Amino acid sequence: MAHHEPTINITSENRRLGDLGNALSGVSYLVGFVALVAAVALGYFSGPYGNESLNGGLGTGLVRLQYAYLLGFMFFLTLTLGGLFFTMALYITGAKWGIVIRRVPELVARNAPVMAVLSLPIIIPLLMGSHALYEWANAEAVAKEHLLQHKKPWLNVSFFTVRMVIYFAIWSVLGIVFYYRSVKCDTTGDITQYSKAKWLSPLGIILFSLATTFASFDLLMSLTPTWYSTIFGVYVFAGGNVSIFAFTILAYRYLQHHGILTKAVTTEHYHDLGKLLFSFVVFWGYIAFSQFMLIWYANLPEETAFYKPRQATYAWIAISCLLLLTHLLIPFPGLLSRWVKRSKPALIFWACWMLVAHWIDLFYIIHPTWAGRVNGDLLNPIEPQIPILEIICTVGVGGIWLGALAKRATGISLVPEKDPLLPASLAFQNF
Amino acid sequence: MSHDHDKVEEQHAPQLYGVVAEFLSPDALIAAAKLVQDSGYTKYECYSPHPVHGIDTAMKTPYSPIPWLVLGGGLTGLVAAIAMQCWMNGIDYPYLISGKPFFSIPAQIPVAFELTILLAGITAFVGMLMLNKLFGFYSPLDKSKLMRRVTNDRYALVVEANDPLFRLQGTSELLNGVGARHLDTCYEEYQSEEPPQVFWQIIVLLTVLGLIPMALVFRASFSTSDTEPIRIDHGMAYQQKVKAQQPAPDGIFTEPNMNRPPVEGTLRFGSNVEDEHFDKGKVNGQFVNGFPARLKDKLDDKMMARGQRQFTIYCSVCHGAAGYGDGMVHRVATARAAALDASLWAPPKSFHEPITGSKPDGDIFDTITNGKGKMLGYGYRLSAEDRWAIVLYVRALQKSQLNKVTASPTESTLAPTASPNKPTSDKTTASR
Repeated sequence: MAHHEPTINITSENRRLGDLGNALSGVSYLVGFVALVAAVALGYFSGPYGNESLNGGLGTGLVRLQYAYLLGFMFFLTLTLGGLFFTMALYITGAKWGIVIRRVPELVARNAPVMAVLSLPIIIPLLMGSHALYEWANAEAVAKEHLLQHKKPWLNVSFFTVRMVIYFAIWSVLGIVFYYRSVKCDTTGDITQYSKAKWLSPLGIILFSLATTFASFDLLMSLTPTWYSTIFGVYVFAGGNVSIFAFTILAYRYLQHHGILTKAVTTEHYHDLGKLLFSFVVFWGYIAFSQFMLIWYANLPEETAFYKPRQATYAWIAISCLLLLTHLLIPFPGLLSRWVKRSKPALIFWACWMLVAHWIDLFYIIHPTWAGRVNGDLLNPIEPQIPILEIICTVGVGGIWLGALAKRATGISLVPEKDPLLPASLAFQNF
Repeated sequence: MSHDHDKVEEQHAPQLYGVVAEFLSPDALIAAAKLVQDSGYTKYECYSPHPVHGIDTAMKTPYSPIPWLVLGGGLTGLVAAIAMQCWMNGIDYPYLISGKPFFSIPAQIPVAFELTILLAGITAFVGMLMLNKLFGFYSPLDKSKLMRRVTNDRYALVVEANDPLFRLQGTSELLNGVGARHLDTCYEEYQSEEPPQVFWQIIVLLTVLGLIPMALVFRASFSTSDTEPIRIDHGMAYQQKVKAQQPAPDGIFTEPNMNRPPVEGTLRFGSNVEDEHFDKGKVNGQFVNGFPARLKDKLDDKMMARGQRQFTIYCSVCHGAAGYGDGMVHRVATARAAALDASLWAPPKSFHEPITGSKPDGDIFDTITNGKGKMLGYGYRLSAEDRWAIVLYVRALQKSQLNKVTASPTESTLAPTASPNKPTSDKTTASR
């Protein structure tokens, strides 16, 4: 397409975080560590929940903490995976518009090894014999339930751990490779890095989809071990994408607020990010409803096991409705208009909104299992609790995640400045 | 027609429609549009073979109403889909599916979703065509030679003559000044608000022609015909087949005919008789009165209820609930026979005529098993015990109509009190 505006000279832009990065990283790490310590302390004193046997040999005090931590962990894992997908999708489609805003998704994807380290608080208790999170890790429960015996070749602690290693290896390698190629092009100006990354992206996206699907099954779906839903991986993936588009919008608004890339990232780029955010709001709704409708229609006990506890009491029904409203029914008309997607304050509002909605989505998936386990019956949970511990854990995981991201972002240019498609991206215009 | 055309053309002398300016690149077009816009022109239009970025801002085009139209289309689809399904499933034809409520939003969402998208999409497409004036039949610009290449690789800006600022010379100079490669004046020739009359004639003709097939179909649905129906798809009505007694095509079976012999070891139905009394109602080849020995202990109320049930299902349609031979089939058949004035109907037997009442139990059992006259045999579909239960019930029916109440049904059926006066062989021939 023709360029009518004078092309922005990228070298005249402020492209580095500088001192801001160090400060942001330091504050994030501090907040993260403090929040995690506070969560452990609070979790220890807010117990005990459930009976003695629930947490293996680790006592009952920290049962809820593990669920709260899983929530915070999954929030940032899905965000990281969303970043990885977004990066690969930009390569695989040969998109020109998104080159300017590719660095943040790349940095997010590069955080996959950080998430691997942060997964240890989930895996280590499991290896130490705790089955607070996953009922299938409890030999007594497995002995009673024929279905769990049937699933034992897949759902057992050692194979679970092996799979986690495989998943994080795939994500980490992909995250590092795409980040490395892009940054190397910045310094050397070697534009073959683009075609190399593009060549890898289809393979990467296949591995990514498999790993993400099965990780969703392992980490979240197996919370209700007798339940299964083949679409569940897509559901988690859709939620992760909603959060990465929201995060990217917020990240660039933050940078521009601090005088970085003020001219390079234009309303046109925000407009496209807004379109993607909107499309994945719809996609999430489509997938969530597809999962719900088939289960609702067939009404088979082994399938309704997921939805029954989530509609067990009025409070749980309220949370289900809250999710439906915040994740689909309100943002759908909210993000529908072109005007909203081109208005920065409106887009910031909806980006924050969708991050909260994604958090509610994970709360909806994880919290009922805890409430059910405490009651000793997954189908009859206790009433939902005020999620203070969950929020603190999310802040804790997020602090470390953002700290690592900001630390890495400090040393590099925040735009792929020698990418061959960058001029086209800078001149990009929507119709 | 051409005469009219000349007349009208005389009245309307060719008027200047506007000036067409040709440009070689979209950038030149945008620059020109900007200048023309800034000069204060309001009635001008840009033409391009492909969408051009930035032309809207250059022309200061007001925002397109398409999004609102699409929203309206989508909402119409949504409301229509929900209303339609509520009416169909909930009110007009309530049909219970999987125990779900008649008004059931989850079940209605897929259709609502599809219809929302369908109407929104159609609105976007048709609205775009209409707002771009792509439905017009005629434009004076069609005559301009410069415009022809605009469908291929040229760009054009047309300033219309009815613009208040339009002056042929001044506007042409302006367009030359912004880099127009060629200029062309375009004249409005004959133009009428109405389409030519032949247009209406063709419309009427096509409508009438289009109605003929529908009229034929309509007529066919109210008339009968002896000719073969025209079949577009033959379906299973005419298919290749070979009848049972015909020789088989070469190579299909080892045997010459289409009807193949039964597999070796196959038993004919009823050929494995272990208990002659129980399976055939006979002892030493003669029909006997009384029930087989193996049922002796079972002849109770349960057996009677079983017989009544099977009788009601299989026998009462012809023989009637009380056994007078006045079942529904008989009544309908008699009515039809009367209407056709031809009595081909052989009425079912009444159980209360002396001739049937005096038959031995074995004979009745045999009739149920193998049928008689027009009656079908039920040996294939009812077990022997069921058939004996029916015999028991038939005996009870006969007793009830004879008005001879005995102490217990079991006793009475084992030794019937209705004394048969005629020999068995006579009865058999009589009924045949």
